[in-house]
Amino acid sequence: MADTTLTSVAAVPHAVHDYRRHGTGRWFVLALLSFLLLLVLFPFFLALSNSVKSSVDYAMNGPLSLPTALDFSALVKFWNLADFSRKLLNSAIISLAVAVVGVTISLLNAYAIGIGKVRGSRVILVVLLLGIMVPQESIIYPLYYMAKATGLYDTQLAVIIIFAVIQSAFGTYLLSSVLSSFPREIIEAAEMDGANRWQILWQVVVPVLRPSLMVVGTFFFIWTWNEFLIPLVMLVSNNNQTVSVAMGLTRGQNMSDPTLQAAASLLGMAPTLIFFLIFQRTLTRGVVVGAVK
Amino acid sequence: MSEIQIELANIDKHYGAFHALKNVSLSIEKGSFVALVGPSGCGKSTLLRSLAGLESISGGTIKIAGEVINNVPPRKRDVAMVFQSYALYPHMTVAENLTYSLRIKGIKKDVARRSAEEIATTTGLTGLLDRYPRELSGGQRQRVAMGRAIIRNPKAFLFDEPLSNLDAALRVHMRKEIRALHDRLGATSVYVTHDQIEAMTMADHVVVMRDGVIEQQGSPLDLYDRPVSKFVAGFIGSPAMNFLPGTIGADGMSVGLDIEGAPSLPLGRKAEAGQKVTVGLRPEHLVAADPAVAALRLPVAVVESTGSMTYLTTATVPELTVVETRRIDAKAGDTIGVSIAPGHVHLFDAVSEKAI
Amino acid sequence: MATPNTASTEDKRSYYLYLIPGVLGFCAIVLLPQIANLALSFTAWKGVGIPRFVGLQNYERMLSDGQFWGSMSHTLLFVISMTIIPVVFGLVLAALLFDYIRDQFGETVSSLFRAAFYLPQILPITAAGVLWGWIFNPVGVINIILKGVGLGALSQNWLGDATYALPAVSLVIVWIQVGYCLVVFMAGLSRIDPALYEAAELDGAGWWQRLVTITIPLLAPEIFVVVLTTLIAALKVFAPIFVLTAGGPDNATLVPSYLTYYHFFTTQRVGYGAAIAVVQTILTIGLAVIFLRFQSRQAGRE
Repeated sequence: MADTTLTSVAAVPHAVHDYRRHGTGRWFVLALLSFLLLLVLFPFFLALSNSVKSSVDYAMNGPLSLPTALDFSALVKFWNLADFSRKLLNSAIISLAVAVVGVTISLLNAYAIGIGKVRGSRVILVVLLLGIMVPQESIIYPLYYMAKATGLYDTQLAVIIIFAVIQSAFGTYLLSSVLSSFPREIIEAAEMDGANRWQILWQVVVPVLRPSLMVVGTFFFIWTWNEFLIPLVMLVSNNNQTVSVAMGLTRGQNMSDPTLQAAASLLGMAPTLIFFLIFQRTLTRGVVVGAVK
Repeated sequence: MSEIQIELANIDKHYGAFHALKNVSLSIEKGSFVALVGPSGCGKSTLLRSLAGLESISGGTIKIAGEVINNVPPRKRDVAMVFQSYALYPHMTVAENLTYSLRIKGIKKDVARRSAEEIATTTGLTGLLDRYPRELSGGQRQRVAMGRAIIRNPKAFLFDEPLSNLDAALRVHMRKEIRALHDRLGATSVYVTHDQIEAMTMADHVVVMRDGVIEQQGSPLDLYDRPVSKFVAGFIGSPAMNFLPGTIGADGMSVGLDIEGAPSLPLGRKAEAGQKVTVGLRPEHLVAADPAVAALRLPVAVVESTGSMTYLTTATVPELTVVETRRIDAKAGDTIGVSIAPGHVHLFDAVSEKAI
Repeated sequence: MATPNTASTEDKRSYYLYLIPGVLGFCAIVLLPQIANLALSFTAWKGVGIPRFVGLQNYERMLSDGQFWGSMSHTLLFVISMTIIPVVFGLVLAALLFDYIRDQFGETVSSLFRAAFYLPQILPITAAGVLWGWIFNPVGVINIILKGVGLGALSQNWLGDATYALPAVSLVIVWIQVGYCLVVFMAGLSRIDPALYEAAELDGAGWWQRLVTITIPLLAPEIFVVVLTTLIAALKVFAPIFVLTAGGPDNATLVPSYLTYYHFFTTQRVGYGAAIAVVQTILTIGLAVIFLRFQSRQAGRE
């Protein structure tokens, strides 16, 4: 009890100081940030409110008013026009496959580099990183040509292979640094317990590493989902295209109907938005992992 | 008892330019408990890890149960190791940790589980089998690490400073437990530690290492009584042996100490007259005596008493430590008389530091 | 005891097996195409038949190609919207959220702000492009707002007018990029010992002084990383241009990536497109090498 009293007494001057300094200022700062926030989120609001508006409503009240009645015709129309369920499925298949294959390749590489400490691993990492930093334009034409030559052109398999490899270069970098700090003695204990290298990887390293693998996989998924240039070049037929490519090509199609455009952008953003809401923590944390090791 | 279980012959190990093990040879009898002891960097862990197969050796031969295993990977050597950090698999329960080696061998789950339960009884882990390592105390983790080694019934147990992460009281307790377990299993154990008390209390055979070579090996009391060098003498025993410079007297039967008053101690044996030596006197061998008849008269700098023991530090250069099991009525500034039996005076060559 | 490398060297070699899938894939998908592209840049090729070796002709042509130089100068302008503005905004916002909003209104409010500002970064750029294309439309939202507040005279065909297209695209890019900077900076801030701020506060430093004297110097590694990664990204801007303006009007928003794409797949001047891509690659590698040097120096310091 004596302690509590003492603390609260000691805290008083600080509290007074806080009050004087922040009384109105804090609300001003909050208001300013909230205004900026609204500015940033305003486009989302526009997409949402206008995509559930009828064309008549839009013509009468413009884009800024809230819809007078919910009207999903624009959404339905774009959905059918773009064959959106197909696009969603394509994006999901490609992104999921890339996440799984990409993480597996990254894991194998990182096992050799981070745990095996193979000679030349520094060089390998630098080459991998440079490889993914260079613009994709510099490899797109040969890839396009190779795909045509091997009959993989306009197949999702081509896009999956390409992105699994490209993403895994980055994943290797991330997982190698995670694995290089993996407790050495645990690996050695497994060796002493009779496990061979393959068993150690799958029975000891992977279970311990699972959270990191999930983060990397989540990233591969969303990056692949958002990729544009390579799917644009590789997937020409409507049936194979991803959401991202479909969005990129809507501009070319004559879409004078503003509610249809709002609906298109909303549908284009919605899957990622939902994904973001679910994996918000992972994704915001991961950016940092990506940028600053 | 005399069957050799582990034989190391002329082991060499280089890390680049660093020569970590220099022509080390060591035979370990079946059923014995051998401690490798020495200061950090002496090569004891490297030697143990070479035995485990976790390090490759640059030269020499390692035999376990008569088989040369130089190029056999750790998993095929049939030895078990207890690590300093315990190295438990964090994603497995205690039971899964214990039985991992069995499951790798393809032993059925229920059979493995029964073994785990047996081991749990032996190691005092009953009721903890379904916990995860993070839910255990340090001592319990230590037991899991031991259990994981025992369950395999290996040709040898290797311990790499297994107690250094425990607090002092638990360490003393586990010392006895490990030794008791060793005796019960009739196992062959190699135990690395930097703590000479652990080595002395646990092992049948202590190997003192220094700079990649074996300085001396033998039974604990052998090392205590007859250290071959100043290094071993200083390393074994606590508190550490006092060293002071001296010169053998003209008769060769006594040694003159280079401290104030230049006292002389009888040797009870013959040494080369006039030789420069380092004299080693264990604190517990220095006995307080009447200053009038005592061999040494020493000014006291510090008196520390634990109740059962009295520790005196002298004001001489170099300072000496004296341990008495009796209560001594002395205080700083007093002068006390101290005697030592001739047989307890250790002599080392001043240059080579070898025992004389 | 220090225990350097483990396992016998002979045993170690088997780790190389694990590199096989990754390295083979990388060679086939990245390295080989990269070399092929370099080779193509010395040829004239229409995409069919056999490429004809023309030496440095493509590069010579680039020197006098107004489109190329235009695209490069636009890249420089995009540095403003990709790097400079987002870094400045990101720093101020991060410091406000971390050091002020979080103190005053709690962790939840501050992470809410962070998540919202980050949102544009995570969207497919093409979907965002559709949205903004509609906002910038001559009969789109911006012009309607301007009319609504009596500034109808200021309304423009934002993306269709060579004067305004580049600033309009830049605005979209700022919208996308601020969140990235913010998130990296906030993570960097969480690494800084809060006691430093308390000490500075006791020393009488106001919020702005704390930003300048503590936050910015201590965030130097993050700032460096963000600046370099966004510079590299500025060299590669493609999707927003493709969706919003297709390089137009009148090449006013042309960027190297789009120019390359245009030559590859529209004019079929594959050799020339490859040469532009090579120049882009060399610039990127230059920046990337600086980046990697820095990263390894940081790692060494840890």
